[in-house]
Amino acid sequence: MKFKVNQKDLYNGLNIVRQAVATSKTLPILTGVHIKAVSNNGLILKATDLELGIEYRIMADIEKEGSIVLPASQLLNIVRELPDEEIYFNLNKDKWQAEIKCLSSLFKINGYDPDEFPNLPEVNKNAEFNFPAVKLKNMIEKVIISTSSDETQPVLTGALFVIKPEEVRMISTNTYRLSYIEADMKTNIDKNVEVILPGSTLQELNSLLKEEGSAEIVIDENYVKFKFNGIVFISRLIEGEFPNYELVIPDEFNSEFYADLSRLYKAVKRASLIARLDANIIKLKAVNNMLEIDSIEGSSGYAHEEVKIEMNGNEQNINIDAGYLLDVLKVLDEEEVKFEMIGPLNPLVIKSEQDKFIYLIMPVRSQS
Amino acid sequence: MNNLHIIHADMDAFFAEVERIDNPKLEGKAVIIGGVGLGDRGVVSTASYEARKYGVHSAMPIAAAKKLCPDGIYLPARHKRYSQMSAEIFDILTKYTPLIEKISIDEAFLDIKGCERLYGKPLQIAEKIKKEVYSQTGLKISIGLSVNKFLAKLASDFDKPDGLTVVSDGDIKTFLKDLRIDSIWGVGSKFKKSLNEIGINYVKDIWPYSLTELENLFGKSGVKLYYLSRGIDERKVEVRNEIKSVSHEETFFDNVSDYSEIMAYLFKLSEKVSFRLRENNFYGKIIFVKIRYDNFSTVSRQMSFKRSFNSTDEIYKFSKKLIDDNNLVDKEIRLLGVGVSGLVDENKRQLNLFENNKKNNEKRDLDKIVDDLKRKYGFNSISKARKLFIKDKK
Repeated sequence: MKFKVNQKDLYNGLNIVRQAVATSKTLPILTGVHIKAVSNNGLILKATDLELGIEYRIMADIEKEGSIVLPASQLLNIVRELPDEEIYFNLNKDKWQAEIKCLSSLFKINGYDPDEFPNLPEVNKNAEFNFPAVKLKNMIEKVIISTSSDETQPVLTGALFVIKPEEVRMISTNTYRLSYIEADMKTNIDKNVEVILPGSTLQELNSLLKEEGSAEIVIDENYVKFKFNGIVFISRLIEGEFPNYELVIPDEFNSEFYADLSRLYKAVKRASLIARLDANIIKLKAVNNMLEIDSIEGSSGYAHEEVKIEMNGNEQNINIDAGYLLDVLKVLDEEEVKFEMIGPLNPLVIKSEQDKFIYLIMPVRSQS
Repeated sequence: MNNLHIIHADMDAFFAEVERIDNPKLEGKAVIIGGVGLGDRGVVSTASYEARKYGVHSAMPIAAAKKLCPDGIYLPARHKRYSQMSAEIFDILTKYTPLIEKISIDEAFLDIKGCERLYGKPLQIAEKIKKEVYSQTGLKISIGLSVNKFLAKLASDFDKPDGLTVVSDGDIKTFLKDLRIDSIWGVGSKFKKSLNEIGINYVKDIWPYSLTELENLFGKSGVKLYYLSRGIDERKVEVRNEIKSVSHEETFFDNVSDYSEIMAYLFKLSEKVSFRLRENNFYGKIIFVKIRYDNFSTVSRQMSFKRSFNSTDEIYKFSKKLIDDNNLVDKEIRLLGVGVSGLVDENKRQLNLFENNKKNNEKRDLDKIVDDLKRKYGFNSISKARKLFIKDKK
């Protein structure tokens, strides 16, 4: 194997695939990047921790084909520090050692036999469709916030991905709050598909997705594959049964009100400065076109805020975790937020009409 | 200015004395209280003063106690009865001040500042408490009266049993000077050894050392030592009445190594813990298990959850997971314990979107019915078949 590649291209490529590099050293070869030089096709970079796999192709002048696995963090550190010039790679196949030259720098890095590196899984085409990247990114941002960090319920650490012939949905919940978002989309699939995407996959995907272009999505029972901007992104799915979200989303309400997003966000944030010293519970009271926000009486002090609202229906009181409200206010992009309420022991519902997004927050019981 | 306002009240040989009251024949006898019906395998929880003369002390294995004091009267502990007596005594203490820090079933700190108008001078209050406890329960209590918690505790211990020791500002030096170094709170056997090595045996031996010297030698413990050795202790009497955790443990009659049997005991303990949680309207967020092996080495493990729980099933499931994940039953076990902490009041609980489904409601109803039956017909009247794996030990 022998090739030359531009420092910037290589650095950019390594940065993309590094997200799938294994962090644990159980299988040392997985802490490496698989590099394959193909004539007329450039360099194919590949990494996987067996949960997630990423493949990315970059331009390079290939003089001799071949492949090697090099330790990812070492290689990335070296390439980062090299100047923006051509880097020359040469492989010593007897020792699986790569020689790296750039201007007056010379490195020799020991790697691994590439034949021992696992192939990224083949994904059968049970469902295959295209999706605008900007929409996908928006959906992911809205559901990431509600995924659970409780490893004892793996299903809840991910998001349910529902694909219907003319509609796509994502849902996540930690059982105390829930995000639901849907998008109209002709998918051309003939049967509904429901899979659970791991939370970590959503995080990585969100950071790699750009606002333009579209993603090609392929799903089977065990894996999902996303192809976008020259990136092939394959993730294992979470097995298990996702809770029945349709049952818990209320289809009626007693009161509704609208509030200015940024005013509300700032008020809740300030009230939370006191509330978070205890359990971060705040009391919301909506009455006479005014939303009152109080920190729950605790040992640390007291905060009171008022925000003007437009309200229909009778007075409402509810106690909630301020963090759950702040999380959603951060990801909404409208100027106004819509709330719907039934009563103090029913979920607080936040809706975004332009997005078909619904967010539920379960209350904390009040002490009385 | 004399600032006597802290009382440390400590019942004398509490369990043994309660037994003596209930059975006057035990008067003047060496009485040793151990675990419940455990034969020689338990440890001494209380020894009467007569038994202490033989060298029997609490936390000593019963078998060892029997060697020292073969003619002693060995009785199983009756915790219900002791709790009842303890409640009576705390009722008396509460009359004198609301500022009570309960340390254990038979020990408490009282802050009596501001109570003088009602009950007289600090010494009179201490005397009144002693008298009232004795006349109402027949039990003797030792009291230490001083300017802070550290000195009050030392004082109550000074003239046991039935003692009343006062250490006022002016007496501090005289009182402390000849006390052994390990009477200072925080000086264990290891720390004592390193102090002895540099010639510190009595409290007065610390005095020549400066704060900086002690800090350099022993770090934070050195700083604590500096202040306590001079009778300086700023800790306040903290009123604690809320329950922090609910747990149960059991020492086995014979060591157990059979996995199914251990799980059966685990279920039994889970039942007890969850029953008590539900009785008090509590949910918990942290589960912990404790295991003592044949060689007396003890391990405990815990796991926290974002969600709160109190069902028998969940407590059993989570504690089992702790044991399985940490591989805790690889040798013979003599004690098993399960507990729940991070308690949340049912009335302040974060509600869950999915808890109102059929399966959960059925489970909750089942727990409720089982609880009712247990209350009515006794704890062992109903249980899951899993408990049948507990082998009968006559």
